[in-house]
Amino acid sequence: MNENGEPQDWSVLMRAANAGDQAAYARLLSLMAPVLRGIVRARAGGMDADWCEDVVQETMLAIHLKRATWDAGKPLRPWAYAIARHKLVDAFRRRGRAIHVPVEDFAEVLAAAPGPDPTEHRDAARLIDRLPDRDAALMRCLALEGRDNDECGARLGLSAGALRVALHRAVQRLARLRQEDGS
Amino acid sequence: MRTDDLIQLLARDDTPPRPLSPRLLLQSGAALALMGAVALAILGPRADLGQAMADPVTRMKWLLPLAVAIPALIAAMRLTRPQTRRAPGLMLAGLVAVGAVLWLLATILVTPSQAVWPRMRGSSALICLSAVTLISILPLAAGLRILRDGASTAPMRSGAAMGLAAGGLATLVYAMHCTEDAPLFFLTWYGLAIGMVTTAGALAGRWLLRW
Repeated sequence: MNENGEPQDWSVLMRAANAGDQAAYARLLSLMAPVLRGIVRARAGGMDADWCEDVVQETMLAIHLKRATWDAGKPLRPWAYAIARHKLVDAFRRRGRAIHVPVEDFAEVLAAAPGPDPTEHRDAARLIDRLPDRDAALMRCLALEGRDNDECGARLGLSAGALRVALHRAVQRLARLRQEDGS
Repeated sequence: MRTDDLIQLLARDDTPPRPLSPRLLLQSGAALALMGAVALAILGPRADLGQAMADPVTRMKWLLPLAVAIPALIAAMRLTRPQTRRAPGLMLAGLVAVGAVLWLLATILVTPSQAVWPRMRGSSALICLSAVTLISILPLAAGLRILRDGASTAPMRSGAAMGLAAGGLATLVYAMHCTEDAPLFFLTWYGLAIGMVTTAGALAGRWLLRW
């Protein structure tokens, strides 16, 4: 628990998220990001901060899209670290470097010191532009302009249900685009 | 995109995660049932099916494929989890395969050498190979499609496991039709057919199951 009485345990938060608690999910992702950043940077072997942030974002996308593969009866951290490890190895492989990343010592890495969130080198607008028009407009509305679902739905002529489906598909496409982009 | 923006975006996507194993079993199972029904409708089940299943040697035509398919299916489901790289199910299926090969070699050794090839060839080797492959294509494809939602860190192994399961179960269906009960025949051609489907699964997995 933190000072506000909110749970800090990743597994507890993920279980709540899977039960539909969006606030718990947002908090979980915010807690994970600096830890993943610390892990990636500790193993990046001289790669720059933008490259690391790319790996962090790809890991978070995968954590989101693959969360059905987490066994809710087991702790979340080893599962999340396994995904981070896979994404890190993959990022190095695309660079033509093979590395050995032992997963065991992930747990000992400290979270990155809080600081300005580094923006990645691939600029968001360009990547979003490659999505189909409606997906791109939806992402821009939700993520870059930070408007709520109702407002974006009204602007794009989507019902609440259709917006949920469109958003999920757009996130899947974004993950695929990023992977193709990097390889 | 800033990581904070990404977090906001992901938190908005509240599509609930769908467990993989029930979908895999249901969709691959439905595909197998469909293809099996079509195959048996065309080829026809053997007339003496009950009798054949009662014979301890002939029964192996069902027991051996089942003994590789079930552990392989479990392995394919286990391997969808990113922390899992080792699959005891695949080891078990491999042991059964080794047993089958040893049985085949022993049978070759005790058979008079001029009789080996005629018995092994039988009269339906080609139909056997093509039927098993055709029956297994759809369940394999259905399985791989679900496995794409998984997070296997060993895509080739996952694909091979799915191929082994689909090939084994397709053989099980084909054996309801096939009347060639000589171990030299079924160990050779059933084994080869399952091996082909496994190879196809491994190669497809290598491409399709990367994430």
